[in-house]
Amino acid sequence: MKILIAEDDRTSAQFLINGLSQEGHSVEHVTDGRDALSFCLYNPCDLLILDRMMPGMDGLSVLKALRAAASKVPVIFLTAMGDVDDRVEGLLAGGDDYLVKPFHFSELMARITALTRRPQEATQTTRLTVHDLELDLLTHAARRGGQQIELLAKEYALLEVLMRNAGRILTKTMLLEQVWDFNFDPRTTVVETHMSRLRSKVDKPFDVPLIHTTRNSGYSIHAPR
Amino acid sequence: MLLVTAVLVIVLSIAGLFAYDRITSALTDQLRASVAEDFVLMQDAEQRAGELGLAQFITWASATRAAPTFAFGLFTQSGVHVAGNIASAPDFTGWGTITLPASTSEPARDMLARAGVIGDHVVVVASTNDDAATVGAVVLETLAIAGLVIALAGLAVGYIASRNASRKLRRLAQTLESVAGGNTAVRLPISHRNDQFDFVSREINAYLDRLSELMATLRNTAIAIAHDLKSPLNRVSILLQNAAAAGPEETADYLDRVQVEMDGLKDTLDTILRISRIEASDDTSAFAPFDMDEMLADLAQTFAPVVEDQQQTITYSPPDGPVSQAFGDRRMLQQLLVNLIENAARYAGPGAAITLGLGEGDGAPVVWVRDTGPGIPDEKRERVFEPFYRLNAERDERGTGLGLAMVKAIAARHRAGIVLEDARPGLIARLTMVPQSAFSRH
Repeated sequence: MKILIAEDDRTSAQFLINGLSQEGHSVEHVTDGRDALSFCLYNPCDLLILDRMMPGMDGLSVLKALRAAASKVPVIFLTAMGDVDDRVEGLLAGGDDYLVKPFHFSELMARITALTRRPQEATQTTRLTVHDLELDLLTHAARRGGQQIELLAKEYALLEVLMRNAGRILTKTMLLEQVWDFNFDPRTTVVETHMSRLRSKVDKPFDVPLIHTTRNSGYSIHAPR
Repeated sequence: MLLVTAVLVIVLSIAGLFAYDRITSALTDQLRASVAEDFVLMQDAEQRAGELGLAQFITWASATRAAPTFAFGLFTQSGVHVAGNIASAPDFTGWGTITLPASTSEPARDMLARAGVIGDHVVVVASTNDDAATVGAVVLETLAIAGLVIALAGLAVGYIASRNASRKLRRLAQTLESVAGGNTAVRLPISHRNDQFDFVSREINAYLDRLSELMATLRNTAIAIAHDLKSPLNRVSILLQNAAAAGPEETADYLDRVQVEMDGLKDTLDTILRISRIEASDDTSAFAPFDMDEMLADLAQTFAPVVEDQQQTITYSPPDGPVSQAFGDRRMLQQLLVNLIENAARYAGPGAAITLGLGEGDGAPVVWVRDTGPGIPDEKRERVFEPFYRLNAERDERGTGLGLAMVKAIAARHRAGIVLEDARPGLIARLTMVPQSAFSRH
């Protein structure tokens, strides 16, 4: 994937370039908002990682100009300004996701994966399947290996989000946003507790675990490999 | 001010001249009508009694109505004086002016006269327009004095008003200068007049109140932040020194712990920023009505397994009657409630029962979070809302010390009341919301 990083802080940019290159992406880097805009207009890329505060032109203006020029490049905002209002502002301007600095690289990777596969996702589906686990989106019924699994409302919501993103890592922050609509990190172990309850129902009675924890990054559901 | 007065004087002068002209011409018209009337009467007399009648009328009129206002004269066509107190025949017919010669008792004066032929004679009727002139003069004088008085009064009032205004403006500027200089305690005086200055002064005082409150909070917060950031930084420093001295495997472990500390620091800073931005803004554009009942039921479900792990319970019992919709930023209020629930879970101890409740207030919901823990002593129930205030003197590392500060900021943004009360036993945190109508612009 061809990724443009627009970030004026050299250390942050180098961190991103190294990480994304290691993941096999082709990475370009600019340090100025105007350069970012002209680069995107003349060089098609698959993803733009855009810092909010940059010399030349701020990230929000860059994005607005890009969208005005009918560019559909997916954009992830990176910013030190972590307030909800900034976030909403960024998303309203046509940003696809928003990440507050400092962040874990795994969080960024998870969001890039979620973002770049999003358009292919079938939205009409009424049934999700991972290996021998089935989830009926209409009746909210879960079955594994022909066995009915009783889920509480939050467990169902959690499982649905995991299965919709099967094979992808979802970070704690992403789960808090998507399952609970929390735009903050609670002090208590909300995600961990519900995940553990869900696992005890979905995985524990069976031989093969489907829900996996990736250290320091998040959770994913996938068939045994 | 002078310009206004000059304009006033000019306007008054124009109005005065206009009035003078109208009055004198009205009086002159009246005079002409009266002279014309005498003419008709004389024609009448001549027709009824001929030359004699005319002469008699003029003699009578000269005797009874003459000086000083009227004068009459009857002359033959050749200009010989027949009767009346006008001695010489006029050299015109129609309207004109004649000058009566000075007598011993009267000075010479101009009179408005009409000369005409009646029968075989020339008749002159004259009348003084002294009245018109006198009245006009009086009017002009009155207007001039009135104008002068008005102009002077205007100048005086204007001067006093502007001196008053500039004095108040100077005081305003001085106050603001003094605030800028660091003295946030000064306030503008409010008079009893309730004028525009008092209105503005009241607004400014309200801003100054808010400013000094913010500055006091800021000062305390800055000290608290510095204090609270020092200990994790200290730990990071120690962990890094250990990592440098340790073997490769241990190093990774130390660095993980550094990462945890750094995440904590980031959290704290994010929360501080968030609180300050919530406090600084009064934008309600993201506010919308929503169902509080649903949110509480949802939160009870979310936290049931979390508190169960600590041998606690959380229950939500829906209200008996209908409850008004809540109005506000849904996610913000959700965070407020999560903070209250997590505080209860953290401090109420094992075995505690946490209950969420909802009731109807004054057109808006009242929400409470109650626990059966040890509660908070009376004298500390206000202080716990301060940033970084911790109930126990020993460092309580379990929280950021910002949970309730955030609760207070979010409540204030929603103009909602938040109080902690003794639940006997335990603590009850009560949020009293206000209806949507409270946010509509006045």
